[in-house]
Amino acid sequence: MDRKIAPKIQAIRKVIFPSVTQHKLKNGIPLHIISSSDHDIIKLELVFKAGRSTEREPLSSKATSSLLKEGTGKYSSEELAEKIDFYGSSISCSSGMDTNSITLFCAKKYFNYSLELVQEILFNPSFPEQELAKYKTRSAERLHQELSKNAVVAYRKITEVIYGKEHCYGYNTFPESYKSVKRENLIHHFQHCYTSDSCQMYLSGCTDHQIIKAIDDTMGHDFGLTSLTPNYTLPDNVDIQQFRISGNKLQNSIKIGKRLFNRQHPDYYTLFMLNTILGGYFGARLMSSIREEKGYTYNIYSVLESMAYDGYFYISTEVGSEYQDKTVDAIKEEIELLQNELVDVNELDMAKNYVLGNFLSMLDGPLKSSKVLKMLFENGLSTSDFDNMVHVISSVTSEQLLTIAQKHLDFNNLHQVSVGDF
Amino acid sequence: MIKYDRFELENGLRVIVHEDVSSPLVALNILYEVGSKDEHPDKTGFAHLFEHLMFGGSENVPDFDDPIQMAGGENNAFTNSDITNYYDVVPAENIETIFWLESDRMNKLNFSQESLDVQKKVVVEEFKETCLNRPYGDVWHHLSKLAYTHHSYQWPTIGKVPAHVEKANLEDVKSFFYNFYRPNNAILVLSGNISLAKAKSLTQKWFGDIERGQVIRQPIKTEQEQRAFRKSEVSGNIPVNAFYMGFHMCGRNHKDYVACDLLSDIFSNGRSSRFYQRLCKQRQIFSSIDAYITGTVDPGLIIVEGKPMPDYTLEQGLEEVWKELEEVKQNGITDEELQKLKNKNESSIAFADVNILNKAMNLAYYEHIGHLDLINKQVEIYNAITKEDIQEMAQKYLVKTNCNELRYYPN
Repeated sequence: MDRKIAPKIQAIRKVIFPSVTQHKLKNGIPLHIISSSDHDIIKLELVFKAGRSTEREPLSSKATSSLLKEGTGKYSSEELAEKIDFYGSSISCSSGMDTNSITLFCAKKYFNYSLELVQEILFNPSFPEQELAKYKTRSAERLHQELSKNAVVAYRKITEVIYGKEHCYGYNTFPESYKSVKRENLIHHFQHCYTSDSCQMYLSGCTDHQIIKAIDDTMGHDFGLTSLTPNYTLPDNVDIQQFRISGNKLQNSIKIGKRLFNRQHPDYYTLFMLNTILGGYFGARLMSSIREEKGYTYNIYSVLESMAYDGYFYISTEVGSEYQDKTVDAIKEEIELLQNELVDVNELDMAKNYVLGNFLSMLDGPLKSSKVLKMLFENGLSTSDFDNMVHVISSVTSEQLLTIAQKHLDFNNLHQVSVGDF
Repeated sequence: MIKYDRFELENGLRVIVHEDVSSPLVALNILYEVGSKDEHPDKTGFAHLFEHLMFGGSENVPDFDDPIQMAGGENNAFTNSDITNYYDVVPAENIETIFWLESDRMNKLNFSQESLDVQKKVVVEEFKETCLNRPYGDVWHHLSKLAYTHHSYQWPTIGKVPAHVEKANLEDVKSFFYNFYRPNNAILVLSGNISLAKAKSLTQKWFGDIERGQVIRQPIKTEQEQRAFRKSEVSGNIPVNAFYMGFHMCGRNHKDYVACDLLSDIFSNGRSSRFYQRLCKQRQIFSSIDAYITGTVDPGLIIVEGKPMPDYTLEQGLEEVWKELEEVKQNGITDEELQKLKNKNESSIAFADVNILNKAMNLAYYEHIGHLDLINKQVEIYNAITKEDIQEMAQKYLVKTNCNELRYYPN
């Protein structure tokens, strides 16, 4: 054995999506199943088109989701919490830009017991006035506390600049915003969005036909049609803006970004690789330059966010306040380099292998795989699009990256937000 | 149930292998038995700084991360007061790359001034990001100092002050490496798609010739029993008042440990727990409140922390918290509460066992505390705890004279 000789690395050529069984409930809801017999656990996720892009007024999506577990016809909020916890299950209600979810994790032996609770939450929530009042007070106070963090303030500002103050992807709420949340708004949002025709279900873990039958028996009937047409409107075009906001002084939070597009755009996966090389993993250029060479920060990364109707890109970091200008200059330099010079083949190979290895890890086990499946479907894609994505990523060239960088990543077209020592 | 095999190389490296063919990946975890408790009081934060330097290249590897990323893998590390833990996850066909990388940096690190200079800056920025520029981020600086008057848990892993990190030099780095980063002070775990035979031959091949060392530890002082209530106040750039209480408890291998863990869960594990339901939800005295144990190997702390709603003062909030603590001391808990905690524990173990990296880290940790076999006995150990045990823990530990109270007030 000679330590000077590195073991040969095998390139990852294939990422195989685990097999997905499609089942339709009696009411037509698609149930996407990924099973394995390894562990006696189950994950069931119900996804509804009930996110911000379906709202009539701000906060109704989030507040509806948060109140689902705060009382039903049969159980009070406290009883429900007790019942969910008792057998070590977890039911979480989350809200997002386009969809809201109800997600159950439980031991297989407690599936039927837990399903009854999901059923209560989905078909019988009572949105008690008293619980809503408490929720509003609690949320306002927590938001007040969150607003003391530079990174939170910066993230809110950049998304607001990109989409506009009134836009569903851009609006911000303030502690006082909760005052205007009303019970009837929640009921309206619930009745019009948590419906059988807006629902997709994802089942994973140690499933079998009895479990599928139990789901069909409890949730296979019609429970309403979506009467809300999505009120999505395109954001206005805005001038490129720069903001410097006063916050905690030791470090500045910097967010630099712009509106782009979502996964359905033909340039998306090439841009995805470009983003990976710029700031998508530890070996990325921003990390190498601004952390590993210059030591200005503990962490810097760039992200492509993809929603149902749109997408955006941003770079994010926290740097010592004295490095503010130097950091922005270094970011500019890295972006311009990508626009002017071809990415070296070795660097591109490394990024490709990293990404494909990361896909393997994202598909390791049924529970993780079902998360990827959900991401695909939410973006209007399928598992065959996944194979295509792997193909596009594996075959992307340095020339394509250069073209995409010139087309989409002009530094002068990026908004800048800095919060800290100003 | 996690099946594993354990063996040792001649140089003292302990190796544990858990084969899981359902995964296309292998996780490799190396735990070095050194943490911030092993630091000199004037050179704190060093174990963690050193963790950063472990990525700066070794004798035959100019850059640690490049080959892993080329192999389609991911890696990271963390340091706490007891251990420094490194982990890598790669597609099974590229596992040998990880053996090459991890063994080369255990064999001989690059002692580079340049890497040291940059990483000192990075760690100082980490210090600012996680402690100094974040509301309540310096809580462990204050609370550890208050609670520990002898033991080296009195400083947090990031270090007492950035200046300690800034003054680290290459001599410190070398001596730390040759003292602590030796095979006989390390535990290597492989979990995932790798057979025992392959694990044995690769371990022997890459780690077998690394020389053992003489690990010299500074004696760690035992914390003396606390006899009187201690308190401290901090004012800072924070949005609302907050309190943190630390009660001394036992260490990881003490018979009381599991009951103390469940005791903290009674107050704060899940939405049905006492603190959340009574103080947060129903009476709205706190916007957030939590209880947990620090989980250290040497005697640790039971922490209770909370932020009162604007209508309540810290004093009022603390009074309500003490009433809850007293209630468990006087009346104990119910059968249902106990059963619920046991069920929750069983369920969280089942979910944790799905992930190969989790399993690798856990195996290493149980080996570190000297009880590898306990990894598969956690359910029965938790199930053996009685209501009386939990009440007794509350009576024994949740007392005023054992309490360290830290209060935060906004400027």
